Amino acid sequence: MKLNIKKYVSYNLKELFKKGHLAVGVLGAIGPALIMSYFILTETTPFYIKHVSNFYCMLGMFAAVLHPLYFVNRDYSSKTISLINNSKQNRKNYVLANVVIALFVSLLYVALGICLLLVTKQLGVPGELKVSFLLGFFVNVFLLVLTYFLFGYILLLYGVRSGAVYAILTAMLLFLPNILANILGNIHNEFLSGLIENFPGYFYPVMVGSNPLSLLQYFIGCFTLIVLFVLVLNKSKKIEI
Amino acid sequence: MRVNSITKKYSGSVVLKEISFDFKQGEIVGLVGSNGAGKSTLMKIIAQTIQTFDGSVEDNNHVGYLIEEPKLFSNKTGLAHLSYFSEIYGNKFKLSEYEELLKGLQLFDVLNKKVKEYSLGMRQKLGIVISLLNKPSYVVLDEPTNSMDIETSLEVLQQLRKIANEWNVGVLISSHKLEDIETVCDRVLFLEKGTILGEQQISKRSPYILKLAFDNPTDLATFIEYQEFGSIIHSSERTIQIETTAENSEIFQFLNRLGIRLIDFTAEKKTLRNVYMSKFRGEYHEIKY
Repeated sequence: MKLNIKKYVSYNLKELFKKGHLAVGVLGAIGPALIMSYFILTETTPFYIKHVSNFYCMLGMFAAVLHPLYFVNRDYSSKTISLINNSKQNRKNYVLANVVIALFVSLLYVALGICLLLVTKQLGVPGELKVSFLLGFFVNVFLLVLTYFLFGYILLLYGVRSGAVYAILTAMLLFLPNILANILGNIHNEFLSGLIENFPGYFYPVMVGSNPLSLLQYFIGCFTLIVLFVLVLNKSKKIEI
Repeated sequence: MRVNSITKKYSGSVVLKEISFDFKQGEIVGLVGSNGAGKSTLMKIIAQTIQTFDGSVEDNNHVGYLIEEPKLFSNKTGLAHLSYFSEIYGNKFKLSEYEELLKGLQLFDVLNKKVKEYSLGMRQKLGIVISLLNKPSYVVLDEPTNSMDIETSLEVLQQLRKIANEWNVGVLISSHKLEDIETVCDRVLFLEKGTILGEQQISKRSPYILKLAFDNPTDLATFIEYQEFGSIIHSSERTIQIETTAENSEIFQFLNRLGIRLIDFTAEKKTLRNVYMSKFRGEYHEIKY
């Protein structure tokens, strides 16, 4: 009996809609961005369109990572994964199916984010909205969601409890980048600065809604993604429940 | 299905050692052994939830299973489980196909209740139905009647027998309730300390164990030479144990005809428990001490 990736993805994406998780995530992403846009449009502020996109990404990326992780966590914590994790093929299909869900979710958040930026720009929020920025936003969101999703996935596979995984992801997406940014502002060592700037845990959350990454950062990002994917795949093949 | 020389080690200690056996579709095979004998590990290997082991299992691509406690989503209904575990394997769940089974297991009327409202026995039964989704060729059930009362156990066993016959599904079932195994199985494998000590066909003719004590060794020798009642399990200087289906009257006629004198005669129904305790557990203790 072979796990059908397409059916698994469509069934669970429907569940994401029906259970209202997606609505909560989207509201969490759009809410702060709309409030920011309102202040920009009604008050005299130094903020512009990239601040709107940053506010969108602040909780949006967190929600986008948690949506696909919900299914992995659900299956592992209820141990129903033992009904799927049987043949080598099914183990592989399960990983691929959840990556496809993460991909769909990231595309949805990209589309919503771009729509939001286009609408707020039309409403009069200042700042340039170049194609290169939108393209960078698209790739950044896509890479960030997949990378953090796979990172959370590998933690769950190694038996880290779901509460701890969510706490780690919260810290990594919301607090660690600020800490690293502060360190970066206070050090004058070029090597250390370079290390922090090219660390995915820093550049993804900081740059996701601001700017396209450098070529080196994209290379490091893609390499990290591949390593995490291989780790998840290999661990899934061996896991016994 | 053919299980070939399965050996499984956990951090150096051998859990299963060179296990080989086969079973066919439509057959129900029991797996009996004490706690820690390796039953669940063997079942997990057959179901492929354990991937690292030595040896091989042939023809185990379409295996349904319920191993240890049923793994379910507490917030989903029974029906949602059946629909989900059919759909993700590419099949549409048709209630009509499973209606008879669900009614037989008293699950049909509670399908729309959430699993968190189910008793442990009901969850076990739902787990059994899930194992039978997607038309498996074999199902592996680890103590499926564990948390059930006698009446419910019987219902489940009757349904399993029916499924094995009508759907041509091979069933491997483990249980500590030897009476359950005896009721439903065609054959039993005895597993102890990771090794199959032997197997027993479950005869429909209900054989029993006859214990005879003779007046002298010559009578015993005469009895052994001429008897055709069954196989000898054990004999000493003046006593013998045989497994037989013969009527007592036939045996007494035979003894009278040969002039053999008995000093004791005991007929003991040969239940699976007797076989397990006397033969296999006996051997186990002999090895141990």
